[in-house]
Amino acid sequence: MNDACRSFQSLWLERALDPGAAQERDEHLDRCEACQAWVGEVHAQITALGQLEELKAPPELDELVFPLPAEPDLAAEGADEPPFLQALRDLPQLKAPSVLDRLVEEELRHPEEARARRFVGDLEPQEVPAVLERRVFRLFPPARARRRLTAPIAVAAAAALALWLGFSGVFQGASERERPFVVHHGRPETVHALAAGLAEGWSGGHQVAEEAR
Amino acid sequence: MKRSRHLLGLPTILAIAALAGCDGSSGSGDAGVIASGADPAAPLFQMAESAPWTTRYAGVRRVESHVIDETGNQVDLAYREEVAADGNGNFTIRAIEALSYVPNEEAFLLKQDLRESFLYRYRDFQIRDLARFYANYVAVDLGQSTTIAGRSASVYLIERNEPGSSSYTVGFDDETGLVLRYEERDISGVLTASMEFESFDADPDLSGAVWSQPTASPVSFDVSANLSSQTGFDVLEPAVLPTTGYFLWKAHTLLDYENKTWMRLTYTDGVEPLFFFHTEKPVSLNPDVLLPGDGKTTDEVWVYSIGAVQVVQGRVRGRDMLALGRVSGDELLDVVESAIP
Repeated sequence: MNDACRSFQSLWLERALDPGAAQERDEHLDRCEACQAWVGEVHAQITALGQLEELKAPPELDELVFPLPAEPDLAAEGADEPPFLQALRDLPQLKAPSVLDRLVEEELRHPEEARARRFVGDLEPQEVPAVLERRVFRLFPPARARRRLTAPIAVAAAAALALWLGFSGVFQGASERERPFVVHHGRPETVHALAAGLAEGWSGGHQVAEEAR
Repeated sequence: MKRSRHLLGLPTILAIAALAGCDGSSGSGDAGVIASGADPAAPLFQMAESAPWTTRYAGVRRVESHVIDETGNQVDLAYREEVAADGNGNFTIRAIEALSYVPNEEAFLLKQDLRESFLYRYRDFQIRDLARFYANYVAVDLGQSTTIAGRSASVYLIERNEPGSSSYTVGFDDETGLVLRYEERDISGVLTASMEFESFDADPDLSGAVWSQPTASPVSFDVSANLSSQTGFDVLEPAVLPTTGYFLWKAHTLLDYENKTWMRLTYTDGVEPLFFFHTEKPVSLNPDVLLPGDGKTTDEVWVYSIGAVQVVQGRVRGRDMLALGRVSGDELLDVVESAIP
């Protein structure tokens, strides 16, 4: 079995596990006898598993997993429904964390911007129309002058890049996403004793400078 | 060398096993697909999880830590300590000598003694939760049967599943599973921490031992039940944890030096702990300072590092909060943000 076989079998199993997906014809399968045999075996196993008799869980198990109330109100609405449905309904409602709320809200507020941000890399590069190319290159000096300008422009670009990287390092917060609190990078005037003690111990005993406490 | 545990999730393994048969003859032949129960190292790792609490022993060990300080300089620390445990949950650590320069050795040794409980529980490599360890780490048997402090030990290279984290070389005592030696290296392979027993007594006289006592009276709570109803105040539980498989492991309340009650939630990925603290109730606010939403905010946090530990410290919605972990500052900020009510 080679990598192509492994890849085919992995994909085939994924599709087999997805009830909505139909197995398509595959070129690899058409020409690989080993995979044809493998598909035959797996088909047989799936068929055999499908023919197994479905067993019902014993009522004792239901009672253990979904204990009935001490005094069940048989007249109450929903008394006939399976205990697991009642148990699911009784589960406490969990609140989504605010950080997720915010991210979803941002996406919903500007869906096109979010979509563009996510998929811009997938766009196929387009050819520049000839008219536009002519208009742009008319603005540039002749080829010889362009060559003379290349080196200074490259140096200037490199310097600008270095400056930008430097500034982005200094203003770390500038490129960070918005948070519902102000974030300072670096130690506060007073490191909390709990944090200092715990981090010192965790680092084996390295001490936080006394003046930072 | 052989990989000692499974690399696929249980549902995937069950699905593939159900479809492709379990005899392995028609599978991919991936040697990594081994259930943990079939792993030859499983008994050793199982012992290792509880060994610090169930093994009676005493010994002397050498501890080293090498961190980069805020100015970018490497700071080295090495010392020797005595350790003992009675196998019933009691333990003691006494630092006996500094082996590297420390400004005030006497004060340093005293401080280490005071924090013995934390050192024993959290400083060293330890399998804290076996299931999470199996889910998040890969252990490679280096095939080295060695002797450490006179004890027969097996050596494993232990790394997180995903790249970009520290790796550990750990020598486990073959008889008890206790960690007798470990070295931690960062992603560049630089040694950042180590511990090694120099002597080991499996049948010590512990009649004079003074066991560690909790100093901050922590009260423990059941993490499988609702914490707020147990504590009697609103417990803020982070909903977003680092993407590396952390789960809530322990919950305590404790008093700080100002007699203020803190909730401490301890998470682990099986090996590394991560801590989130918050105060019991909103602290008294300066009446001149407007609350969040009134156009001015008092909510601010600081992100900094102490040794290899990242810390987020601040006050949010009127509560003091702390988060500490060996993860990125951004991940800790997500933890704090997701706990805000």
